[in-house]
Amino acid sequence: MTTLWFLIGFLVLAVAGLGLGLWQLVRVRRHGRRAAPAELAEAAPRRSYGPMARLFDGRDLEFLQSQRGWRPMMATRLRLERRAVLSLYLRQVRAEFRQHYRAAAPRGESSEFAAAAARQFLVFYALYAVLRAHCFLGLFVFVRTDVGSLLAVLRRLQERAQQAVGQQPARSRAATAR
Amino acid sequence: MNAVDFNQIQSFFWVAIPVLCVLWAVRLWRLGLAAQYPLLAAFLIGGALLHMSGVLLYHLAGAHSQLYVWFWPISQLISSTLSFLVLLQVFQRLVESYAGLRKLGQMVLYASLGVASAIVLGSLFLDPNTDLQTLPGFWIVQERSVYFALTAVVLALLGFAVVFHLIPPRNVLILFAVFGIFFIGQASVWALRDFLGWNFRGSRVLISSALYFVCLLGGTVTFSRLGESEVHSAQPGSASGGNEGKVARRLEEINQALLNVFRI
Repeated sequence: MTTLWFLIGFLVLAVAGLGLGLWQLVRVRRHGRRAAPAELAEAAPRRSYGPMARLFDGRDLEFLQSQRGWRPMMATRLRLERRAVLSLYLRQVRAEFRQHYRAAAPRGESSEFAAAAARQFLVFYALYAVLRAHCFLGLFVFVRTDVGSLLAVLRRLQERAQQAVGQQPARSRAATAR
Repeated sequence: MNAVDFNQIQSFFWVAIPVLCVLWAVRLWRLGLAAQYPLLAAFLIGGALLHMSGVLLYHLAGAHSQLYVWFWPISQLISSTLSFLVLLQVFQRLVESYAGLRKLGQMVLYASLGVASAIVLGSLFLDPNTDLQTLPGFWIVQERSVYFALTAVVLALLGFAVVFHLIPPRNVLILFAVFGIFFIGQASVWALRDFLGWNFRGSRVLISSALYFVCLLGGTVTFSRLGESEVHSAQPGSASGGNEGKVARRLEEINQALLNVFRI
C-alpha cells in the first residue's frame, strides 16, 4: 500500500509540475525574456543598495535609546518598518538578478559560462532564502553579512552578463565577416 | 458498457491510432518539418508499424499464441526506445539556439533518466505485490517503470527550460504537453493495473488506447509551420509582471530618504 501512495504522490506532483512548467514556458513565450545588450548595460549600475546593509545597524537603535522620550515599543516598531523596507529592497534585488539572468544565461555560448550562471542562480536563491529566514526569525544581526553576500553574487552575475553581451556582437560580426 | 460496445470502441482505436500516426508523419513532411523532427517522424512511423503488426498478429494468431507472447514484449521495448528518442528530439530542439547549455542539458537529461530508473527499480524490489517470477508479471512492472522514468525525464527537461528561461518553439511546447500527458496517463494506468489486478485489464487497454488517440490527435492538429517561429521581445523583464515598476518607484523614494539619513 505504501508503494501505491508513493506512486500516487509522484503522479500528482508530475501533473502539477507539467501544468506549472508549461504555464511558465507559455508565459515566457508570450512576454518575452531577452533584454537587448544596450538595455542590459544601462540597467546594470542604476541603483545603489548601500542603505540596505545598514537597515539594522545597531547604532541607529543606540541613537534612539539615547533620546528623550524613548520607549521599548519604538525599537519594535523601527525593526518592523525596516523589515518592510528590506523586503522591498530584496524584491528589487531579486528582480534585477532575474533580469540579468534571463538576458545573460542562455546567451552564453560556452558550457563553462552556462554552468557558472547556473551555480550563481542556485547560490543566489540559497542566500536569498537564508536572508528571508533570518528576517522571519528576527535574527537581524546577520542581515548585514547576508546582504553583502547576496549583492556580491548579483555583481558577479552582472559582470558575467556584461561580458556575455559584450562578446555577442563581436561573435556576430566575425560570423558575418566569414 | 456491454462487450459489443467495448469491442467496437477498441476496434476503432486499433484502426485510428496507426492512421493518426501516419497522418502526423505526413503532416510533418508536408509542412517541411521532417528534417527538423527526424526522431519524431521515426517514432510515428515505427509506432504505426508496430501497432499494425500487433493488431494483425492478435487477430490472425490470437492473444495466447507463442508468436504474440514474444512479439508483445519486443514491441514494447522498441516503443519505449522510440518514446525516449522523442524526448531526445525535444531536448535537441530545446537547446538548438543555446549552444552553451547543451552539455549541461545533456547531463540533466541522462542524470534524470538514471535517477528515475534507480528510484523506480528500487520501488519495484521493495514492493511486496510485485510479481517478478513470470514473464508477463515482470513485463507489466517493467512497463510501469518505463513510463514513470519517461515522466521524470519530461519533468526534468521542463524544469531545465523553466530555470534557464528558454523560449522553445511552440511545436516543442506541444510535444511537451502531448507526451507529458501521455506518459503521466500511461504511468497512472499501469500503476492502477498493478494494484487492481487482471480485472482492470479491459479498462486499461481501452483507457490507454483512448489516451494515445487523444494525444496523437492533439499533436496532429496543433503542429504547424508557424509553431517554429521564434518569439522576439524587446521588453526586458516584462515577464516579471506589472508590480515591478511600482515596487521600483517606491524603493527609489525610500532609497533616496535613507541616503539622506545615512549620508552615504
